[in-house]
Amino acid sequence: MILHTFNKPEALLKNWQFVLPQDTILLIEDGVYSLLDENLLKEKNDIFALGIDLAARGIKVAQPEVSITYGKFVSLCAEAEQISNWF
Amino acid sequence: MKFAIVVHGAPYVDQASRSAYLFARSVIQEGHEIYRIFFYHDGVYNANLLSVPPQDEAHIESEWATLGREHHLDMVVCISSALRRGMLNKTESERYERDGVNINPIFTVSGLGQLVDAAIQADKLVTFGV
Amino acid sequence: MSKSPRTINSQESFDALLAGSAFGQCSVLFIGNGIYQLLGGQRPEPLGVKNYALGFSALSDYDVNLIYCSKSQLQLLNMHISELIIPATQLTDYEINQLIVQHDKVLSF
Repeated sequence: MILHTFNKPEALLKNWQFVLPQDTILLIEDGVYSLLDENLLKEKNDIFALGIDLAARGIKVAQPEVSITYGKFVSLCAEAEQISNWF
Repeated sequence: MKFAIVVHGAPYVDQASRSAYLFARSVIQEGHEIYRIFFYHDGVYNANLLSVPPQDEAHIESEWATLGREHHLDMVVCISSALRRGMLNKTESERYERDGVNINPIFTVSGLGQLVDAAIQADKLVTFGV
Repeated sequence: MSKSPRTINSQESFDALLAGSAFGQCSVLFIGNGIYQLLGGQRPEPLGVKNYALGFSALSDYDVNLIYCSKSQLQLLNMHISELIIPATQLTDYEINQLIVQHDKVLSF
């Protein structure tokens, strides 16, 4: 499993094509704006967003399990076989 | 686990530096080890000794220095990126006969070999880019 | 490599690739605007910029032979493989995902 991080919506749009359903997605910084598209969470992937970045930008997500802490970010990195940071 | 963190962004102008700092702190809090933090591109500005932000605002460079000092972190600034951007420690300032030192001595100034070494030796590598 | 050649970051990214190649096997993947770095015939010198792209031709001297680019993004940028300064293997989107899977670490630029 690859952990993909995206720090802006453009990074997600341009590089989404390299993500497979079994990969995990983490939205950080401006990447959390991608959640303004409600369809994103319908994808098969596990999708997370940093809570601190959601709150900073006033983005609310209906599914509480999407919002994670930096501690969980670290855990996701530890669990992933590869980490790919897109920006 | 051993983590390597790469920082590409300067403080304040981009969130990469803040994100990397919070991540570094969490790595330690989660009980892992930070093998190295490598500052590249504009990330070298995080080592700035001379910044004076408003008192009611975060002082990112100072926070990095405190983190590094408290946890004895290996924080490396890439020498070629630093020189190009006018970030100099005492050695480089004397070598190039410049009138000032602006790299906090808590940061080591070194080459790209340190980035590659970190990529090889660490279990995980995370890049905070712009 | 995801950025166009217009800033120093791309040249510094190339330096990092050379440094990596001194330690072990490196693959380099050009995606998005990074593919512009491979366009032949660049002459940035009048802009006061070093033509670091000339160094791509010397990558094989550094044992960097695993050079890839995104097939779909090459087409999106209206470029053709024949215009590239060095031979790069075009990868499909799936193959790029698998390229990441095959490597221990990813250095993103």
